[in-house]
Parts: sequence; structure tokens; C-alpha cells
Amino acid sequence: MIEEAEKAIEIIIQSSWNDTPVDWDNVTFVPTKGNSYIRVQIEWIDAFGAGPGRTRETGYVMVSFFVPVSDGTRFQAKLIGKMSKIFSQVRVSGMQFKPSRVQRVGENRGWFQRNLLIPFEYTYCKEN
Amino acid sequence: MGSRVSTGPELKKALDDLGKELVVDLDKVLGKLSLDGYREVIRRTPVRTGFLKSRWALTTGQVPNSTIKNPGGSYSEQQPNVKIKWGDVVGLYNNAEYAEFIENGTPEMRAQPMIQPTFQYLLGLSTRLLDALSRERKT
Repeated sequence: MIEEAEKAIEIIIQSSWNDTPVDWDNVTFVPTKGNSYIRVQIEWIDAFGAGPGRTRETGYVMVSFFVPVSDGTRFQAKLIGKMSKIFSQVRVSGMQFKPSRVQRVGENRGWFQRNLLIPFEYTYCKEN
Repeated sequence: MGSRVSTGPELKKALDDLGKELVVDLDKVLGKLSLDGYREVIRRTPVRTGFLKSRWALTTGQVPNSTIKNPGGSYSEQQPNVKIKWGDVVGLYNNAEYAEFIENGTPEMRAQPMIQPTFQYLLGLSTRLLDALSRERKT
């Protein structure tokens, strides 16, 4: 079941994002100096019963936005806004994305980083 | 709470008794949330030397505002030793210098979040616990 949910998230991003390269989890990625990029991770949190025969799993998508230091924040904010909008508009069977929030991480080794956290719930029937 | 009250003092006593029962329930809820949060964050903490894991602590007092470097060696986690009651402000903290980088990631290193998933886990758990308490009170 996790596989289906992760695949759905991957498709959502792949089909709507061409603004920057994407650093996918457990895939080798070497950033190009001076070129902004995003990193995508999925964190699973909890699982519990959600009515007869149904299971609900919760988690969040963490998207890290890296832009070169000294480039300001406007372009990064635009990227964050676009990603947030993508997830707020998407409808996937069994998945509910909740309002996202932004976290400033700061400067590190030539990059300025902010994270976007998008919580979700994934509900499915056990027999599927 | 099924008995009838007919006078002011009886009503006051009934409300006082209910208040005491609720505080006992809420003490349990807060205690469970605190300890479950501690266990969850420990479970999610990556281990190389064990230093990061050993620096988690629960407190109802002041959270230290300084951090410490990993001096090397090997470590084991500490058991929380704190008495929690309703109304306390419970702090869960880690003062290892590099904890923030593990939590949020860096350009060279993926995040291995510990606090954020624990926070989300506790939000869900608290809702379910309070729902269960509410159902119990209604029956």
C-alpha cells in the first residue's frame, strides 16, 4: 500500500514540476553549482484502523528547496508557492493532502534552504 | 455521575468530583503523550555512536539553551525520570550540536527527521486518546 501512495506522490511531482531538477530519495544526485534544485522525501508516521476493514496511514511529503546563497528569497518563495498549490489542488483516490507549511532552515555551504512540509492521510481497504 | 442532585451543595460536590476525575484522566493523557513522544523520537533517531540518541531528555523545567559536541565514544539512551501532571509544560529536547542538521538535512545530507514525525504522531494520538476518553465518559 505504501508503494501505491509513494508512486502517486512521485507522479504528481513528475507531471507538474519542470522548474528545477529533483533530488529523489535514494537516487544519486549531484547538484550543479548555482542551479536551484529541490529534494523530495516521504516520511511515514503512523497507521491505525479507520472503520471496518479500513486502514489509515499518515505521513508527510518533505520538499527541500535549495537556491544559491545571495540570490534572495523571491524565486525560492515562488517555487514553494507553486509546489504547495500543486498538492492543494490534486485529487488522488484514498489520499488527502492537508495544508502545507514552510520551515526556514538557512544557509549552508553555498545554498539557502527552506523546507515545505505537506501532511497527508492515506486510507485503504486491507483486502486490497 | 448517574446520581441526581437536588441542592446547590450537592451540585457543587458533583462538579468538584467530576473535576477531580477529569484531572486524573488528563494527567494520564499528558503522561502517556510525553512518554510515547519520548519513545517515538528515540525510535526515529539514527545511530552511529549513539550520542545523538543519548541526548534526548524530557523535562517539566527549563530547557537548556546551549548545545554540546560529540566527544566520541559510545553511548546508550537515558530513561526519562520526570513526574508529569496536568498543567505542566513538558519539554522534549536534544542538545547535541548537530541534531538540527539531522532533522532538517543539509545540501550534502538528506534529513532524517525525528521531531517533526514525532510531533505529527502525537497530534494524531492525542486526538484519538481524547476521543476515547470522551466516549468513555458518555457511557
